[in-house]
Parts: sequence; C-alpha cells; structure tokens
Amino acid sequence: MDQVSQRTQFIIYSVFSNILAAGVIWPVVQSSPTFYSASVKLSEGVSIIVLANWLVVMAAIIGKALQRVLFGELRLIEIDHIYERSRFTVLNSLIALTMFSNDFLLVSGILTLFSLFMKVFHWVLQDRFDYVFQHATIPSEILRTRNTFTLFLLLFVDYHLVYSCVEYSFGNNPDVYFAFGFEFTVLFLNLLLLGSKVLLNAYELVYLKNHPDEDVMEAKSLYVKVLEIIHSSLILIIHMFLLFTLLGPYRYPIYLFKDVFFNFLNLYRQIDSLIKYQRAAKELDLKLQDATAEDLSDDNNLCIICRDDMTVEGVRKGERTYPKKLNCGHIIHLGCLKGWFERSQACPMCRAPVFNSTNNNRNGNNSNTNNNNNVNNNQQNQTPVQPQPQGQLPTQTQLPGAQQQPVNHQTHNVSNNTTAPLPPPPFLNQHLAHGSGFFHRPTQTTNLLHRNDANDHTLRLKSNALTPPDWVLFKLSNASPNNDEYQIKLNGNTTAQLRRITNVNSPSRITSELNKKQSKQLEDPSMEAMKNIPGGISEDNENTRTRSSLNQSTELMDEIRRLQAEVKELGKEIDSIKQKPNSSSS
Amino acid sequence: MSQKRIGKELNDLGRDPPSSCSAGPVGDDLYHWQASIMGPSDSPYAGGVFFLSIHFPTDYPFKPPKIQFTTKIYHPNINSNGNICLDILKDQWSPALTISKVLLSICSLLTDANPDDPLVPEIAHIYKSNPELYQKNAKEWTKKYAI
Repeated sequence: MDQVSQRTQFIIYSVFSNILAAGVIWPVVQSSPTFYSASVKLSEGVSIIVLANWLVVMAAIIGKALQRVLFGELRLIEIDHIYERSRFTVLNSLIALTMFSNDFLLVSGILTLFSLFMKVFHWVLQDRFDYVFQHATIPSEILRTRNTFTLFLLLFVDYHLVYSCVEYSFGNNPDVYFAFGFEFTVLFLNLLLLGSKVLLNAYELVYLKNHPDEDVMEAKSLYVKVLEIIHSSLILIIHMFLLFTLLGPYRYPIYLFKDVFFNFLNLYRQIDSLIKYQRAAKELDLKLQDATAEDLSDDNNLCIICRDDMTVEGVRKGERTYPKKLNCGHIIHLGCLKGWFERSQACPMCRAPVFNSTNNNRNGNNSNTNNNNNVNNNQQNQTPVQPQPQGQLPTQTQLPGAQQQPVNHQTHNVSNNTTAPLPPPPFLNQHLAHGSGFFHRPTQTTNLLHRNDANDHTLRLKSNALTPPDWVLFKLSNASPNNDEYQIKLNGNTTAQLRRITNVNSPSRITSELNKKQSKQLEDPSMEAMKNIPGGISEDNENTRTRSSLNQSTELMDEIRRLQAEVKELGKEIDSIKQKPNSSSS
Repeated sequence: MSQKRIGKELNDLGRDPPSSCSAGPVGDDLYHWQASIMGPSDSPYAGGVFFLSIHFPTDYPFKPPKIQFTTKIYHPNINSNGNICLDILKDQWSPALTISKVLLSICSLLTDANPDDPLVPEIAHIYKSNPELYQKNAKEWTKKYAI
C-alpha cells in the first residue's frame, strides 16, 4: 500500500512539474524573437527554479528507467542502502560545492546530481553482486548475467567521464571538473575492485568444483584482503593528491580532510587485519593443542562456528576440519577458527584471549633459543676446543681435508642403516682403540685454526699429520645447557645425539640417537623439542629415527674422562698457538 | 560455509522453536529472513507481535546479521527506522550466537531497556524521568502498530 501511494505521489509530482515547466517555457518562446533572448529570460527568477525542478524530476525518471533495464526490481536491502548512503553523500557533495563558488552553480549542480546518480548505480551493482556471490553455484551464474553487462557498461562510462573531466580541466585552474574527475576515478577504482572480486568468486567456484573435498577456498580471503589493500592505497593516494592540489590560500577542502583521514584509517585496518590473518594461519595450527577422541566423546562435539559435528577420525592433522582445543578448553574446527581469527583473537564462546598463554609459550621458546645462542656465543668467544668441566664431553673439532674420505664413508653407512640399530658410534671405537693420543699435535702446522662461520671451528691439520687413516672426528655441540646431551653433525642432513646417563644400578650407558633430519622436521619446533626430552624418542614413522644404545663398562667412562683431560690440555696448547700464529710457521 | 550454517540454524529452529519468537527465510532467499517476536507479558509491549527483517552477510557467522524492526515500536534502544542498539549485533558479536539466541536477547531488551546507551534519547529521557508516561506511550504504540 505504502509503495503504491508513493508511486502515485511521484507520478502526480512529475506530471505537475512537467506542466509547470511547459507553462514557463511556452510564453517565453512565444514572446521572444531569438533563442538567445529566450534563454536569458528563462534563466531569470522563478523560471530557473521551475526548470531546475523539472531537471531533477526528469533525472529521477530516467534513473528509474535505467534501473529497470540494468537491474530489474530492486531488493529491499538495496533500497535501504541507497537511502542510507545518499543522505551522507548528498551532504558531502553540498559541502564540496561550497569549494567551487566561482564556477557556474548550474554546472556544479548538474555534476553533483550526475555523480550521485552514478554512485547509486554503483551501490546497487555492488549489492547485486553480493547477492549473486551468496547464491551462485556455477561460475556462469556469476559471469553470464545482466550484472556483468552492467559492470562493463559502468566501467566504460566511468572511464569516459574521468577522461573528459581531466581533459576539460587540463590547463585550467583546479575547478569543479577537476574535483569530479577524481570522484569518478574513485568510482572507477571501486568498479575495478568489484570486477576482480567477481573474477575471484568465479574462480572459487571452479576451484571448489575441482576440489570436491574442500568447502571453502582458503586462499580467497587472502586475495581479497590484498586486493582491498591495493584499492584503498590507490584511493588514499588520489585523495591526498586532490587535497594538496586544492589546498591553497583561502581554500580549505574540509571534506577532503575527512576523506583522507577515513581512507587512512581504513587502510590501516585492512593491513592490520591482513597481518592478523597471516599470523592466525601460521600459528593456530602449531600453537594450539589437537583435540583428542576423549575430548570429543561427551556431547560437546558440535563446532560452535559451523554447527557441524567434529571428529578426529578420518581427518588428517592440519586439515580445516581437524578439531583444535583452545586453552580455555573449548574445541573448534581449525578452519572455522582461522575464519574467526581474522576478526578477533578471543574464544568465540568465553571470550578468553587465545594467544595469551601461547605468547608465554613463545617467549619460553625464545628464551630457550637465546640460551642456545648464548651457549654458541660462549663457544665462539672462547677457545675453539673449549675446556669443559669434569664429567662432560668436550666440544670437538672437525677435521676436513685428509679426513674427508672417512666421513663420507661413514655417512654412507649411516644412511644405509637408518632403520636398523646402529653400531656404536665410530669415534668411541677410536677412543677405545687408541686410548691416549686422541689428538696428535701436528709437527709442522701452518694456520692451524680456521674459522668457517660464527659457530663453527675447524682444526686444520697438514696432510702429513699423524692421524690414523680410518679416523673420523665429528663436531660436537652442546644440545641443551642443562643436560649432558650433545649433538654430532654427521653430514648435511644427518645428526646424531649423544647422551650420557649415569645410573647407579646399571653400568653407565651411552645412548646415541641418530636422526635423519628432514627439512620438514627442521621447520617444526615441536619436533625439535621432542628430541630434547630425555628418553623422548617417539617411534614416529615420518621421523625416520633409529636408536642404538650400547652398554659399556664403567671403563669407558673413565676412558672418556681421561680423554677430556687431554683435550683440555690440547685446548691450552691451541690457545698458546693462537696467540702467536705467525711465529709458528717454519 | 555461511549457507550451510544458516541452513542448520533453520533446521534447529524448526526442531526446537523458541517460545516467544519465530523466524524463517523470505521466499527462497536463505540470506533474508523474517522474524516475529511476541511482546513479553511483563512489558508494555504485551499482546503485540513485532516483525523484524534479518539480513545475513556473506561471511556469516563471522560477521553479525543485520536485524531491523519492521514494526514501529516505542523503545529507547530502537529508532524509527527499526535499527536496534544492541552490543551483540555490533562489536560484541560472536559466532557462537545464533538467530534464536539473538531474538531472545531482543526479547529481554524489550523487557529491560538500556536507557544509558540510547538510540532515541527522548524516549530514554522519558523512560528514566517518567516511567508511567513511557509505559503509556509504549502501550499506545503497541496497540496502534503491533496488534
């Protein structure tokens, strides 16, 4: 009823305006001898108001007709949006018009009206596409529609408007055309953003068709964010440029200050959201506990976000549908959590901050790495063969050159034996076989010490140095400052771990673990942590890890202690050599 | 994602309908619903049926639905356009909320208005300074528009 009465009101009003306009024009045309005198008469007094009113009515009628052709019937929310936004835009335009008091009011008025018109069409198109995105199931439902045609039409019109506005104002003072040229440029950019979103949504549908097991394209929100950031920065640049061009004596384009400010705020928010999104994508999987089957057994297996049931069976870890347990105890799908984390960092149920304790965790990790770094730095600052406290194995040095062959041989062995228990580490055999004389001081040495990088020290021996031909020396580094645990690098991707366990009941035991490090493992800090847990060797399939333990008599320990003392002595010797490296050459 | 979740909410509403409100899609557009709320019996809105329109955003449930009264109502937190001033529909939104929970919150807003954060300051003023007049006006509006 309301709609109908509004329509009749409008019809009556437009008929009335037309009659009024005709009533004004007709006598003037009758009485004026030339077109010029007629126009002069028409632009005076009441006539101009009547004509302006007629113009507005005609614009409304043409607009309505165009809307029928381009969009068909408008939806309720689209009409709502038009009213909501036009109020603001009209007010804005009126403020902007005060800037150009020198120019023809009529020209400014027509341009304002026209830009409002264009904007309304852009808003409706945007809403229309939102609706299409929600409902389309195949790409052609997005692409092969009236909306796409409208999109291209508006792009074309915008382009020409921008072009003619720029051309018109070129060489003149910054005037109305100039300002409106920018206005239309912004509209053009909005359309480009919309166009790229259309393509993205169509692509998403294709992607989902090709990947039937996924229900969202995860990368899409990232793309949308990046597109929006590009769009906002372009608009910010345009507004800034316009602001600085128009800013002059007695001219303060206040409406542009507002635009620039809001653009800036918008851009900031978008970048912030992108960073949060990236962080969530990276950290959620790693920092949050996986839910177990027991967690889900009692009826809280409903994911509060998608309202689907959660299960751990048949779902791989890291998949979107894998349930994750937050620190507050609530369980939610990983993928759903990612979506929510773009907007908020709190648990959707209890609003407890999710990353609070994980932050602590991360700090803990950091301090741990710092410790490790410190250890490394200490090693670096002190002598290369560092004197160790009694009862600890020394940091050993690597012997390249002459020793290269045996190392390779050893590596070969290791890689062959990754699944079988390993023979005792060769250097221990060496210890036993050779006893004293673990290190042979080269008789003729040049440039004994050589530093490869910050943490790596090499003891370079001459090729004729006295070393048994099958000797292999490995670099040994302290794995963690608190444990008697050492890491030996066997080759580029194989490391071994050596741990001394003193047990009163059983004879001392030296356990060595061999890890074939995979690149994946290196990225995964939790795996690294696993290795540091004493005895925490999981029988993980991915992690081809073999374990060999050897029980040795207490003699072995004594042997090692004695060797340490020797190494200590050697360290001192190296110290002295280091102090006068040039004098040692013969 | 949003389509699935809205469908599930609709099913839940059908299975376990809340006592004083109802909601469902308009036509075949799953993203546009209409809801109705019965005026709570302990409020001046008792006896009235208030209609609301609900628009779901594409990224529902990560963003709140847009809910508006389509029936005129005399309330300090609801303006003449039907916009509702309710924190859970704005920055306090959580994906754990559902349409039926939101409608229940609106019901309780009808019983206990929040005049300290008003959308219509005049009504809020009357609500605080002259509760009888507020009751009278609200009853009048209910009779006029909602029955």
